[in-house]
Amino acid sequence: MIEILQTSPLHSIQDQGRFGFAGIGIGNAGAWDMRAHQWVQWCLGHTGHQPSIELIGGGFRARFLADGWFSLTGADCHGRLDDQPLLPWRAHAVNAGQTLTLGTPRTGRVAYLGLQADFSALRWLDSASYSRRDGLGQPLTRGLCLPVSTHAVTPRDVPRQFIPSYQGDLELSVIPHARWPEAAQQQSYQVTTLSDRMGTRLSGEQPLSVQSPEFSAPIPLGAIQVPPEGHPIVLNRDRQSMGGYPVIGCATRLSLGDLAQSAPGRTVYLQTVSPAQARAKLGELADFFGEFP
Amino acid sequence: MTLIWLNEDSFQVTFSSPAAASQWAAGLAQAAPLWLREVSAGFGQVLVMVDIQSDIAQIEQDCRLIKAQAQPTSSSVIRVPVCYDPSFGLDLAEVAQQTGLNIEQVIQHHHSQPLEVLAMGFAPGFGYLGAIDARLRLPRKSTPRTRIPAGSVAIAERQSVIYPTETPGGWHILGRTPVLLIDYHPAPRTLFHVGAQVQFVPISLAEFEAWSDD
Repeated sequence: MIEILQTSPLHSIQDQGRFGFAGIGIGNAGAWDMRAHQWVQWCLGHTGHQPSIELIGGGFRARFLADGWFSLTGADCHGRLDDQPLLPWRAHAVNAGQTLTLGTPRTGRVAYLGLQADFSALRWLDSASYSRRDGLGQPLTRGLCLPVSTHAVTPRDVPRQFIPSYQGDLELSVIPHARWPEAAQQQSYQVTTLSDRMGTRLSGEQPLSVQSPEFSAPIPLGAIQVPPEGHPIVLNRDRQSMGGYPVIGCATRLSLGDLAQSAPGRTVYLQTVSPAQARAKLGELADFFGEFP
Repeated sequence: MTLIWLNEDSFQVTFSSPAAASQWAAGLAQAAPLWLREVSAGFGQVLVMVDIQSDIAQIEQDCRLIKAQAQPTSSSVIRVPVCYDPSFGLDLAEVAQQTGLNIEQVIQHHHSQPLEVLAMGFAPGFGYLGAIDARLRLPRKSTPRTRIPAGSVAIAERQSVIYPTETPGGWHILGRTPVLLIDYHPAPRTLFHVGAQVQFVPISLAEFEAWSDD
């Protein structure tokens, strides 16, 4: 059993997401930084179907009541097992009675914790992903106990060349749509403090002017909306399923994870790619991880 | 048929009407090709998400063969009870003032004709209903309410909606319904679907309080 000793309302259980119910207004949810989620499960030899604990902003403690393994990826939150410091992007062995502590992120914003836990009782509509708005999933609360799973574990560490950096300027890859304004590419943006699982608001040097659509439309993952004041919002895993603001393009799947990890103030440039280029890149990841929604 | 790819694994198809879009989406869901991950329709647009590892040419070919499917119950009218008591219709007086009508007329015009479900989305079971009587058309409130009670029936622009859960929102609240928009057991089933006709039926406060779904 794994007992949650300290958590925050920004922490949640997330997997690859909930698909097939958008037609009745149920959102996808799923890991905010899908790549870090996939790797944290890979570190245990699991697929991304297995849920992770998503820790936005760090500040988490859990006690292990059985021997086993866990893994950490994403933001480096000064992890410790009892008094022993832990490196992220690795699998770690744990003994019964030991306590895992994560502090404030050193770089990045979101850490992922992979566990040898049985989440099967916590699945709603084929997914354990928690969605506050939809009222689906088990919220992560202090005192929650997760039963240990009998899943086989193959512990392994992420090869160095695949560990992303969350610092420096961010080149956000964007698939442009019909309303794409050339001006969007000719300036830099900053990540604002309004950045959560629903979306990230960017602040540009010059507001963009985009023609509004006549009707609302279903919103794809990564859609970049431009509301009347002219600053783009990149919509992410907890986006609303319909929207009426003009959409100028979609951020690629990897770029969405990069935004999740971006601290407010980070400089962002928009770089256009074709749907075919973007699809080829995501296809490679899906081939490696089995799936990459 | 033109498929416009919006991101790596999602494309959009545009139709001439909300009903045509939803019927094609229903046809696609019924055909359930292996590459289909998710389909949703709204306001004449269909958004389709596919398995990234499937063949694009095959997807485009399959889509051309999809037969639009009429929704089985679209001819029947879904009756939705609404209590317009002032304790629920928080904006009745303001709407009356802004439209130059009296409160009775606002209520009357809101349920005088059936509305069509133009799109589903925003929240589980949430439907966009329209078009409402032209005399009731108002822009959204300039300052949204931070908390709209669950079940609130509201209007803005050409549409009327029901809030399934407590949420912030900028629509004008006329009343409240005791009915649930989604039932998860044994499988998720919604009261509305795109293309359905919805008739609001006024009920008293006593009827609201005595209401039971059984």
